[in-house]
Amino acid sequence: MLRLHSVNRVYPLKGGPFFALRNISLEIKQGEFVSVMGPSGSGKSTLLHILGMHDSGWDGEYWCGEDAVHKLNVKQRFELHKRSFGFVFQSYHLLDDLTVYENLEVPLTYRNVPKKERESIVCDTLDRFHIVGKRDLYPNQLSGGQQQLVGVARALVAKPPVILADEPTGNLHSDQGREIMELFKALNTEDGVTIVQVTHSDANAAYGSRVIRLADGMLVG
Amino acid sequence: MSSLRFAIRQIFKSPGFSAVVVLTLAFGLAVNTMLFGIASQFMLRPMDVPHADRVVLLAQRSAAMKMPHQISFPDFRDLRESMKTVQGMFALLPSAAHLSAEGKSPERAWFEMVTPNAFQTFGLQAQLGRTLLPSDGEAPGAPLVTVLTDKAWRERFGADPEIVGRAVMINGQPFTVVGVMRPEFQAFSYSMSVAGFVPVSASGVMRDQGAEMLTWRGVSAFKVMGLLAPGATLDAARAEAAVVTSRLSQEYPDDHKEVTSVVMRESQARPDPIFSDFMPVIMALFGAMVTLVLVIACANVSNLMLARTAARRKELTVRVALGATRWTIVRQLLTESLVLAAIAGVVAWYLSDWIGAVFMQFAPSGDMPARTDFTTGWRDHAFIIVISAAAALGSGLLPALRASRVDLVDNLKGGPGGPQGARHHRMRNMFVIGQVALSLVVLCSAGLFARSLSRIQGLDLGFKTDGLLMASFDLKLQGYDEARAEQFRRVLIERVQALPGVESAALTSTVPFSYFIGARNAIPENPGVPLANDELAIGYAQITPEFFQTLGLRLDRGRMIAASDTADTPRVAVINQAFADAVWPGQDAIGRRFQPWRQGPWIEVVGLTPTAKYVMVGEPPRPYAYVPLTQEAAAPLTIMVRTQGDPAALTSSLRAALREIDPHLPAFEVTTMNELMGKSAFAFMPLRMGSLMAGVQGVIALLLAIMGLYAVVAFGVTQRTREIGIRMAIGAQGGDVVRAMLREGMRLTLIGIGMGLVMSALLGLVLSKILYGLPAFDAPAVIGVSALLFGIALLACWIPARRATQVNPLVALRAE
Ligand SMILES: Nc1ncnc2c1ncn2[C@@H]1O[C@H](COP(=O)(O)OP(=O)(O)OP(=O)(O)O)[C@@H](O)[C@H]1O
Ligand SMILES: [Mg+2]
Repeated sequence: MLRLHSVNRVYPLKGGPFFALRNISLEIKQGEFVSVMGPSGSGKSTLLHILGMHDSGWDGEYWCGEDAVHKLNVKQRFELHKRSFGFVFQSYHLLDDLTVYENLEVPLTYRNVPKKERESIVCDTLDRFHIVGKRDLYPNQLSGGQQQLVGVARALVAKPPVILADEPTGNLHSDQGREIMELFKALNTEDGVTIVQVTHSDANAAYGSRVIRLADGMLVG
Repeated sequence: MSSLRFAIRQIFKSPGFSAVVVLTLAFGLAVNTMLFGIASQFMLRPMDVPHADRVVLLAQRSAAMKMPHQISFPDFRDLRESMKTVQGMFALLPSAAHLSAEGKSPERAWFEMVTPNAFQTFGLQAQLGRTLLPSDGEAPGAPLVTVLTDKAWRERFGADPEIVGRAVMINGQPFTVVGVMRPEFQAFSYSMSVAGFVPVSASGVMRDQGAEMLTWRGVSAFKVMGLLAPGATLDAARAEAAVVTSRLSQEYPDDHKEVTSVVMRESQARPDPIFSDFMPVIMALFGAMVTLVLVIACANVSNLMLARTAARRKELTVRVALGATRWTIVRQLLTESLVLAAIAGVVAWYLSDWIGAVFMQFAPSGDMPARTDFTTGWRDHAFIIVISAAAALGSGLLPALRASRVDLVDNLKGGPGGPQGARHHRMRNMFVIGQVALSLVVLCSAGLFARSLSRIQGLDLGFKTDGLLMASFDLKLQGYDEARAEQFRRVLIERVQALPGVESAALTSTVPFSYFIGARNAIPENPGVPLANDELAIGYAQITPEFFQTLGLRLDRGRMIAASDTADTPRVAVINQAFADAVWPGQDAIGRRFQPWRQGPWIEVVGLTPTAKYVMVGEPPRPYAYVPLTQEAAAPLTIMVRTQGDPAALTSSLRAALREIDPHLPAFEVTTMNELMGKSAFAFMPLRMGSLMAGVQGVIALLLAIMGLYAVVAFGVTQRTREIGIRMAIGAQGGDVVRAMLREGMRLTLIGIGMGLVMSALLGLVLSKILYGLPAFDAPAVIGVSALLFGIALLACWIPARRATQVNPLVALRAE
């Protein structure tokens, strides 16, 4: 599904080039639940943003399904990104001025889903995540766990095959964290969504099927 | 000091932002500086004389002229004798003259005829010889003496060190030069620069009936000035003048219909007391206008700074977390504002010179020499420093205070602005809407002015303005008697008509749309309607027979002025339809008679011409009479020349023709009719000035509106960086984001345009009532301006909005 071959991410700094990622080759199969672990600054987020195509300043080869990402132009990459990924952030990053309902609707408008269809998809999603009661609340009226629930819902609403999550439970109590992890697990097993999460906790990693370890920008197992 | 260095570093860190701030402020400062410069030159700068603060001017109001005007010479003498509160009172009257060194050609020059005590009153010293002294006399018959100004001495006499004691010719009479004034003294009238001074005893040489003028109580011609006595107040002087004036009114009631006295400070009587009633109003209006420009500029900069401090919120939060007090932060931000305003002040200083030069082209360039040696002084420097500092506070204080109110908890949590932010947004949005509306209104009126100018220039004035050249000269000052003058006029017309490219040429005493109106109160014989005092106010011109043809005037009935009308034949006139309608409605005016003044000769009407425009473009039908120059002499005269091609091209041959006949005769106001009308306050000047001023104001308003919109959108983009990052991370494309950012700016623009349209419709209605030829509404102008404004606004929003696409979600989301 996702395949990296000899990928480097270099930041040209004053003191010389800095390798945030060095010679990364890895493959993530469809339906996997992968956890990326490693000390702070080891390049986990960097890796995730490359996979999610937010970052394009790398070299090497990146295959996303049949598509050779390294050969695509900006527009094509962007289309592929929209088709393939949903993102979950450590600090939720909901849009403060929009209600829960509207937050869920936004990704669909960017994908030109007609209004009628949007409505039914969003309602289904609200239902599925048991947050129908919160639909007209604003993010600051929700608890952290609830916000992250909306964050996950938003990542999923456009039905991407892959979810990328950067420390999704980093800001949550362990109870709330466990809830999110259960949700991921269910999505992975029941819906076949491929999940790549960054985490510092072994407990969270245990929900996944495989662990990728990074240290100093290099793959260590 | 370190905060200054930090401020400078911050300014250079974002050169684009700094440049925009500096230019915006500089513009507002420059128009203020320019206006202040004018005001300080004309109103605030004292005369270069000792006791300048005590110099007062005396004037009168009367039934005939409600505004403060000059005083008759006998009245002046009585006032001087009776009044104790004003000392050293003197009178003066500017006069045109022909001045030449012995054996040289005369040149037209202006002198001030003064009572010689004037020099003592002002404590003036000569650089050569002496000033005029009371012994030079106030009664005709005294020896002819003159004192020259430094300027005339240098320019006309080559700074001849031996000039004192020599004779110069004034109007053909030898005047002994008794002295040369110091360079700083140019005239007793503050805004003039004359060639020299002669005692009033010489008035017979200076003017027609000049000697008699000194005895006529009815001729209010003299400007009267003096010094407040030590310890006397202005009010005391007013009271005393009122007493003396009412006594004069009782003694000479015929010459004092409703006369009241006016005493004012000299500085309030510039350039002439006649303007003193409304000068303060005009200055206040102008002042309000330019202050508004500065306020808007400050508000815009304030907005920009808010946008920037929002972007610096993190820096400021950290500073507070590290223990900075609110005052430290305010001081830091204000230092930056001050440095920016200081730079803006310097830019404004030079910009204002340039703006001043643009406006100078509208200064009426009359025959009278205006003072031009205006220099900038400490007042101007002080002013720009003060308003620059004010602008720094005005634009920087609010953002600094807001930025310093850092809410640690809120900011570290990364929460939104809260209700306070919302209120501020509303205010700022209203402000931007107002600016857009304002610039639309002003630009629309500029469009109106420009369009009506082109329309009015095509208006039928009753004569053809194209292809008309003119030159004026004064034979009387040159000492011609009537026989020589007659000879001169005949030869001149012959010579000029023979010039290649000339269709015809004529002489007139009164040029249409010039400042000389030639007004008379005619007494018609057997009027068909009752007239107040049996009089009719008319315009009056002495002309040669070719005048009608040369100007392209038509004749409806009767005959033209003819060469056969001479001093020995009965007096005749051609009058216009308005004259006939006003006096003999429904009757045949041909063959009727009128007197040009009370007890004047009877003149028979021999021809009737359609009513044209004579003084102002928008005037109501004005009664007018033309009489033969041969039957009533006049000076000065103007030769009007109808040319086949460009009239300006014939200027030098016209001058040459004049020189050939009399090499010593000075010619003045050599110009084309179109040029004259362009500068005439009565013709196109108000519209030209209006369209330029509205145009400049409109462009300023537009610039300010653009800055405002830019700030709104730029502020939005910086404020919403995180949001933009999120949106892009969840699939928004560049276009989506730009559109979202544009939406707010364009919404404000559209509301502003809507309001502006309503306002400009109202303003158009008002203006069309005031200014002749201005339509209330002009669809092409309004549509054009709206479209222009919309396009520019779109651009102003698009540029900062585009920056949104450069938001890197990676960076935007990392910043937490
Ligand atoms: N724009 C940049 N310029 C220079 N270096 C960068 C840039 N962005 C990231 N880095 C460096 O790349 C390295 C990897 O960063 P990354 O954010 O991927 O770490 P991480 O593993 O996610 O750490 P954490 O667990 O603390 O989130 C870090 O050393 C960081 O300093
Ligand atoms: Mg990270």
